[in-house]
Amino acid sequence: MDSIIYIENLWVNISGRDILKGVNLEVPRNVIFAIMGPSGSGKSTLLRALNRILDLYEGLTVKGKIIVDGVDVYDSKTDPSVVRRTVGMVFQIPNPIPNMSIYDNVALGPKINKLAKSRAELDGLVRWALEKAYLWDEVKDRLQTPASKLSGGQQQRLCIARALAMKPKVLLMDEPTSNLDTVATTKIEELIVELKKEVTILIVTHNPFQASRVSDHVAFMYDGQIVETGPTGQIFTRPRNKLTEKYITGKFG
Amino acid sequence: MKTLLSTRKLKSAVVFISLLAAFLLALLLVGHIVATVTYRGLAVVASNFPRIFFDIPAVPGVREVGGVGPHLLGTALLVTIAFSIGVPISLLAAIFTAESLKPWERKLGKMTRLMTHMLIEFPTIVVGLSVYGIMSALTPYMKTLIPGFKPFSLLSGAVALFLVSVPYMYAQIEDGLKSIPQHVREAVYSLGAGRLLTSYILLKYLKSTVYAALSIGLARMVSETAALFFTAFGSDVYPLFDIQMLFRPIGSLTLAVYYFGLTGYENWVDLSWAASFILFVLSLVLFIASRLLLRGR
Repeated sequence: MDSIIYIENLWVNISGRDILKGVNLEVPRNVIFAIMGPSGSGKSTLLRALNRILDLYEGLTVKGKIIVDGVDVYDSKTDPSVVRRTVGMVFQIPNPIPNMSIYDNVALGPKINKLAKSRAELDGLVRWALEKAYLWDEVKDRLQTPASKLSGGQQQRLCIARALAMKPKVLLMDEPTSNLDTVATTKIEELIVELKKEVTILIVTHNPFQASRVSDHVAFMYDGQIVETGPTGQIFTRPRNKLTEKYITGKFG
Repeated sequence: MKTLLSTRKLKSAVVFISLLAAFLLALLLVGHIVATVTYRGLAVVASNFPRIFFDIPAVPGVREVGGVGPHLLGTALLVTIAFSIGVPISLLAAIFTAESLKPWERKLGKMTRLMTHMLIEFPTIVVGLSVYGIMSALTPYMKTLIPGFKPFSLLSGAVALFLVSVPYMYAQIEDGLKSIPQHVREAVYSLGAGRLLTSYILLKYLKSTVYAALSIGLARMVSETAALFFTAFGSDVYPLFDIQMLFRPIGSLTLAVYYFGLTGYENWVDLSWAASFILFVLSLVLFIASRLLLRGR
């Protein structure tokens, strides 16, 4: 199968502590790939390594190899900004720029990366992204109001629209629903399934049920390592590893 | 239960009354300063309007006061030079230290932060004296390049104002950048923005902090006196407009307030009050302008 992400023996150390200890992973194109595991297992770090947001952390060393869409992410010649254009990200806390308008939040990525040649093209792109994120109908009459006026769920969908507007090939989602109520969570889960047509999605979740609901493939992480990975149906019905079984049946810890 | 409630109410009342008293005291002091400066200065400015803004001071001991034209020009020149160099440097330094990524940058950033915070605490007269010392040491060498180079000069004055004000502006902007939640910063980086562009977007998000920092910095420059004693030195005549102007002493409004106010000549004391009033109005205009600018955005 044609894979979009290859991770080879990835070690990440932050301030003298090994967070990832030799991770190997392959992610096929246009699937939803869930990474689940208990807190502190290194899920978020793995995700942040993929678009080099980890570069912002003090005392970081990365060893190993990550290839995303043919680009060697940690090669010394690779510009992290270029990686981040291919790999969009949605964070755990909905983080639109609060005083920026809804429109400007979505337009920010295309503006930074000069994706639109004209105002009309930018308008079209913003509308497309907001429609994809199921937000257009709720905000079309108030595109110029500050993003902070939206509800938490709407803000998170705005962040998804913002990431989509860059037309990324991979979308990283770091526990995108952990700060939302059940209604907003359901909406976002539906949206994620729909988005599979556009991008490859890597979603980190500490909730095994969410992983089983949305993903095609799943990896279980524990203590900085991938314990087991495979198609979601198989992992949830016939896990090979005892730890995985304990985790998905909720008998962990 | 009842006594508990009443002690709580009593405490609340005590705090409220002391706050009110402190507020009234502050208002009284500020009111007194404003009233005195206006009362003594406005009359002099009004009866010599508009000559007071252009003339040089009259000789001591006569009825005329003359004007503070050279001092006004001096303040404008000093502040323009110091501010136009100071703003980009404060912004870039703040971006460098708050948004540093590589280990050596972080180390240098920490040192920069420590040194600037020390510089803020420095008495400004010491800052002026240090600039004088450096300029004096440089004079023999500089004279071979620029024959008119002197340690008492417009250049030294501008450097001193720069050193007095830039640490403030830098520290305020840097604190602002540091106060931005990490997840907002990560959001901007995740969209493919480089460090400078990210900082620009974050600074736009912080614009009220940035404007406040810059207007405080500007106000400090306009009102600074002690740092100018050993640097700009003061002058009561208009400078000749040539390139050498940078290397000759220059007057400032604050120095005018100080020097004329110290003398026993009535007309010079009046001139000192007039200069104080002009300085006060200038600060007020800057303050209001910055507020309007902020609201207009």
